Amino acid sequence: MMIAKNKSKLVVLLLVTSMLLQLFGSVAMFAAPVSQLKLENSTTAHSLDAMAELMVSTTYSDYLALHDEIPDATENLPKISAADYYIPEVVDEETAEKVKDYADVSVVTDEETGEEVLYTPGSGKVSFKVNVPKTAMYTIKIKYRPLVGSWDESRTDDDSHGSNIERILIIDDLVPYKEARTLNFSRFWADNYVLNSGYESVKGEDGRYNFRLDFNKNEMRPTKSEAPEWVETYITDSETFFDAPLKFMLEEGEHVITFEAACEPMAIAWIEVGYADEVITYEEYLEKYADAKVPENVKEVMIHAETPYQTSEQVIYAMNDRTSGITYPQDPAASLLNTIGGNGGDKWKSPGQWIKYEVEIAEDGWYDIVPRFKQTINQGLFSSRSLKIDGEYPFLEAKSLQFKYGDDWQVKKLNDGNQDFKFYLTKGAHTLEFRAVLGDMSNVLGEIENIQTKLNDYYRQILMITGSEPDDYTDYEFSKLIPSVLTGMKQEKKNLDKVSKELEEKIGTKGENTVILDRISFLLDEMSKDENKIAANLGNFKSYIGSLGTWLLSTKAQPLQLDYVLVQPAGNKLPKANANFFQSMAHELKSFIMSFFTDYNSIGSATKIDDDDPNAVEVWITTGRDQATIMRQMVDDSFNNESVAVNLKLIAAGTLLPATLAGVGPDVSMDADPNGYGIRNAVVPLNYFQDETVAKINERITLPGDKKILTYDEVKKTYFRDNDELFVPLTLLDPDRVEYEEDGKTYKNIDGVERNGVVSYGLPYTIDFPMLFYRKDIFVELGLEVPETWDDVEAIIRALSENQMEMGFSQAMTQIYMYQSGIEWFESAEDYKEYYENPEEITRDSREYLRTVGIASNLGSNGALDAFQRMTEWFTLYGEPVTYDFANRFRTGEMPISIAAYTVYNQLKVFAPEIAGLWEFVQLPGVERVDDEGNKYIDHSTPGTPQAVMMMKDAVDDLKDGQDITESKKAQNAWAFLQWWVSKDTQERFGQEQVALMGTAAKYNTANVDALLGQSWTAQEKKNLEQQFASLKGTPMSPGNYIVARYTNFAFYNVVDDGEVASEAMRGYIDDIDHELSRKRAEYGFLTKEEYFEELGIER
Amino acid sequence: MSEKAVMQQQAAPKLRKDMTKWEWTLREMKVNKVGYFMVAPYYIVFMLFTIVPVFVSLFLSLTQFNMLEAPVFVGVDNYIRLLLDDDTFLLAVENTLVFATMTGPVSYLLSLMFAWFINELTPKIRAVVTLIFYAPSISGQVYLIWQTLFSSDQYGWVNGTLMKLGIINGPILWFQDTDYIMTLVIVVALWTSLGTSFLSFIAGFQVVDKSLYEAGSVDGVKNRWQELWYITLPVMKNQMMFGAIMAITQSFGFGAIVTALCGFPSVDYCAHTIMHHLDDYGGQRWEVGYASAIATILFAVMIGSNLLVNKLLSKVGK
Repeated sequence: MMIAKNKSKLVVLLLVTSMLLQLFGSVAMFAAPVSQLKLENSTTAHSLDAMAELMVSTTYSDYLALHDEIPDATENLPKISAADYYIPEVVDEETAEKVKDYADVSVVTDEETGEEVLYTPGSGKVSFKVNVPKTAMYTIKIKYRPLVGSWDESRTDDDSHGSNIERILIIDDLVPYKEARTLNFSRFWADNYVLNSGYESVKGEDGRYNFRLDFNKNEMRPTKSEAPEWVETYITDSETFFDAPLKFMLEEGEHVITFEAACEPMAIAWIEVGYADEVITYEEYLEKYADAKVPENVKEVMIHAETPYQTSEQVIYAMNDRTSGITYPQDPAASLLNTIGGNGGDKWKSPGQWIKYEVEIAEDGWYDIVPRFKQTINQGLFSSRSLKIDGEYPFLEAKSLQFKYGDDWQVKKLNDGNQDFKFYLTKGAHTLEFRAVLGDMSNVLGEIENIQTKLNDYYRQILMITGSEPDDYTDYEFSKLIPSVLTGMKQEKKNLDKVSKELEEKIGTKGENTVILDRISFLLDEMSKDENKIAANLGNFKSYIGSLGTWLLSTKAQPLQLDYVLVQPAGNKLPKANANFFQSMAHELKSFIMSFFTDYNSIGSATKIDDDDPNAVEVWITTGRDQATIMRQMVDDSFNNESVAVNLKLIAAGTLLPATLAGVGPDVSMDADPNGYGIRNAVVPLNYFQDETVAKINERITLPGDKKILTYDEVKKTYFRDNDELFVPLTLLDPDRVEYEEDGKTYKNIDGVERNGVVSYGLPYTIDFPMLFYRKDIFVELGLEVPETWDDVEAIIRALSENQMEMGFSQAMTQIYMYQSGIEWFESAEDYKEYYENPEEITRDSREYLRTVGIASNLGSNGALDAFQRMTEWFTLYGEPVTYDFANRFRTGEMPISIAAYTVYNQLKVFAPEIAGLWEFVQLPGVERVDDEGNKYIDHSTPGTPQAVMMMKDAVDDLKDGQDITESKKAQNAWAFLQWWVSKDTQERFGQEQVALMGTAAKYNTANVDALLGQSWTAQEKKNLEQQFASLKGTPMSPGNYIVARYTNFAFYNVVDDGEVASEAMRGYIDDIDHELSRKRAEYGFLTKEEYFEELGIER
Repeated sequence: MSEKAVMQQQAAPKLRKDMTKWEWTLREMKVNKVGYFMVAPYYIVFMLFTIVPVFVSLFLSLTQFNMLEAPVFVGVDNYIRLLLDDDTFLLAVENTLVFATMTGPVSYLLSLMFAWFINELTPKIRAVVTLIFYAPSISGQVYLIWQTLFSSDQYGWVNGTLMKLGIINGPILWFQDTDYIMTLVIVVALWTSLGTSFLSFIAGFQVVDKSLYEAGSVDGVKNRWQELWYITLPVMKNQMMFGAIMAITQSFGFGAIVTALCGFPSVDYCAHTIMHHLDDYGGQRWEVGYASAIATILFAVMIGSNLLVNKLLSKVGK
């Protein structure tokens, strides 16, 4: 027995050392000088060492195995008050550099407890010094409280955004194991129900809280607010692979325990290093309360699952269930929120998410806890929950309660799959906390996740030798180059077989759940026995790892939907789980009949929308129904719906054009193409809404909170940091458009301000732009630095291709290069300034002409041709792929660096949890430029594509002849709505509501930069985003602009496919592009290049 | 007087002297009002949604119309530009004709051949084989399988296989490379076009009266070719007409598959059809006047080819 144990320890040791050796080996190999342009004002500083410190790959099980001879601690060390935090002394430059990472904390006296506590912000480190008397395995207990809002208005790093609090635990400058890298501390969310005059939530007769109702008597999803409280908790694995508190090996002597903030601020009262009590078993529990009786004459208590006391995340909220006639409450017409949880989104199915209920017990004694639940997702498996009563596990088995799969609603006593449990409850109020956990599957899944990480690593190591298309018949000499991979594969095969067997025992059958494990095991066996088969099977290996990841992701989810939880005297009869035939039929029939009378159009509105109100603003959106509902609620809450009626309509995409043509279009459209509609005069220019008009609107309309309605210029300044680039794609510049006529009416400029032919057709509300994504772990492994310039990228590509890896480029590269080198996309009349004989005599008219943009494309210029050439070289010279699946290759590590839209962030968060924390996005590499004063700087420009909200022509159909656009009441109302919609508060709330609806990975890409940064990014992410946002560049609006992208694309493929010379390929299209631009400009009466040349007298 | 002229004279209806032709028509309509009433729903819908739009489109083709502002009359400018100053249109015409030949006559003859062969099989096997041939056109978007096969990714099936065999070094961008687009699209087009006409031929072969073959053999039909030409085909002329018209409309309306496979527009317009050109101007550039001119020409070409096919089919069995 002892020998076997030692042996396994030896293997682990061997593995760890070999991995470490490899790491050093590769670092040494690639630490060759990567030419790095270090500039003074460079803001992206990513130190390799700082990253390496966090990239620990030891797992907790390895860690335990490594220290299995060290005994557990038997005593608690004295509590360390958070106010006694520790900052290392500055002795030399190195320590000074380190101290910089420490957070700017505040010691505050807590109002509730009178304790001195520590407020720590969402970034930086906090350390505590602990004196350990005896070498042992210690647990760490912490008393914390989530912070809400901001505690100091003068700083920005202490804002709370309501997402998970995340910390990294570092002991003596090292993260002890992988699990300590992501520690979650939950928050406390409570629903806002209908309040009575005393500001108490109103309960119905059945004890269920009242939700707000909309106009159609549908219950509306309650908003949530935070109800923070002080909690004492052990530090545990946030993925719940290990249900006992995590242990840390501390040797005798002094140690520094550091919490590095990854996300969100929190308050800490104290930490305690010590040991955790064992939880008693069910048998002991029964014995302990052996004298207790089953209470008689006590009625059962029904806990309505949809109205919890608290939840851990705001995304866990009440849902409507119509599948069963006896789900309580149920209504044939209205949609009632009668259940909680389920499979959609991240609602109470990720391990760690919990729901807490309050229950009032009438008499001491034994009770059964009986939920009515539905688990129709995890086929053949079970979902697990742990139950804490009043914050404690009543007995060990309550840590892994099982909810078996069934194709309908079920009513069962709480059980662990083997036996039903009863609970001893005393008279009075109790809390029941159901937490999603991996339960009995945790060991198996934990093991599989470890195997997956290792296999991914092996795959990459093999790939570095063979490339992604290995030759079956080459002898790659794996046994010489990577012997550790071969032995590792053998070991993982054994582990897989073991796990597969365990899994089979757990679920009782061999089936779809074990088949993927067996397949990989078979493949590993084949590959490790005969290394010549590795190359041939690499493709299979990759796809198997991929499907293992997918399987793991779906099996880790613990979906469960609850209708109610009954607490009734033990042994009482259980209620029925499902409706009988007649009940079902009555329910379906009633629903069917009522469906004829339900108004599906007025989305979630609290009041009836008056269709006949001539000044009501009709807004069309094409997003999902949920988003529309959120918008409706926001309009009801924070927009004055009495003086400005807003009629929100959810329509199918593509309806706008025919509707506008027929004159029945909306007043405000959320997703029209500003270019197309703008040049065709179907949009009301928004820059006409200036002082005088807006003053008029302000007289008439007051928004809640006395918010002033802003002018166009103010909106730009207040909500968009005066960033012109956001407005460039929405603005037309043309002197011929100073005023325009339609239907015999002339619309003039107003306010006495000459607008000089500048018309802005929309306010941006979302924006997308490319950024650079890279894998931190691989960069550390290869000793690479994050590129600052494109020259750095070349060096990186060389290092990557030596290791058979690639980089992903976007086809927007031409534009990126051009913008970064300061070359415009279009030619403007200004480019021909030199042709004026006497520049001083330029008249007002010709000065206006000078500003005309888009008379020709700029692709023919030398700079642009150069940019195009450089762009194609990535694909031709360096052979980077044109077509690829970014998320997949990024996750396997084949493509550790890529240019991609920053919104891919959301996808990666959900799709690739196994690389969480191992990647980040930074601003694009740039082009080195020299500014006017001769200083060098790097231009990181990125082309942004905004989506705009626009005021359509229908908004001014109440105008009489000779009246000004802005005299229209409806247009004024519409402007009030538009400027409200893009305001920081509105956009921020919309983002929050989206996160509340779909989970933290559903970040909203708002164009309001303050609202964007106000979401729950980590400090680093926020910094990178803000930097990139500052170097946004918009592509100007111009008639015929589609043709430029089209022909650039053609030229690109001609170069990549047929090896044409880049500049030649592009030049071949220039005339066609300019021809089309001139034609299109002429069609709409814009100044064309030909006309302009004629005026200047230039021969062409 | 020729024989034909005499027959025409005899067939001409005798007009009554006491009322004009118009009055006569009105009276007949009153008598048969039930009939008119019964065809009315279809007739009205047909007028409103087919005939009227055709004329509106004819009118719009003489204007400049950007869909949001009132159309401006420009005479035949659109036609002049289309026929004399639009290289892409000429390319589109060429491509359309190539596709039309491939998916029209070629696929038509192929369908006929396949139908003839399959007709020789026993009923049970015939049912299975028919399903196999007809499947691509039932399951609408199934041509997207070609996108998976010929994916530009190095992990695409064809690219992967070719790279493994050492035939190519890097992935080929099949649907973005002017060298391959046409060939691939034609193959896919042929594969999907064995649809309706094929099925109508199978049906046609089933209705031929067996006794005709017997009579034919008595009258001296020597081989299967003669049987096909003199007996089978003349009997199933109706089915052939139906198949031909379907094939023509399909072949000229060809475009969706190209868009799905190569994107819109295809690189260098190399698989651009008239349909695409129409879409480009109508949908992307919002020039409905010009798009209508394209549509009008397409309409004329279709009518012309229908007449031609009618002529050709009348030669069958002669």
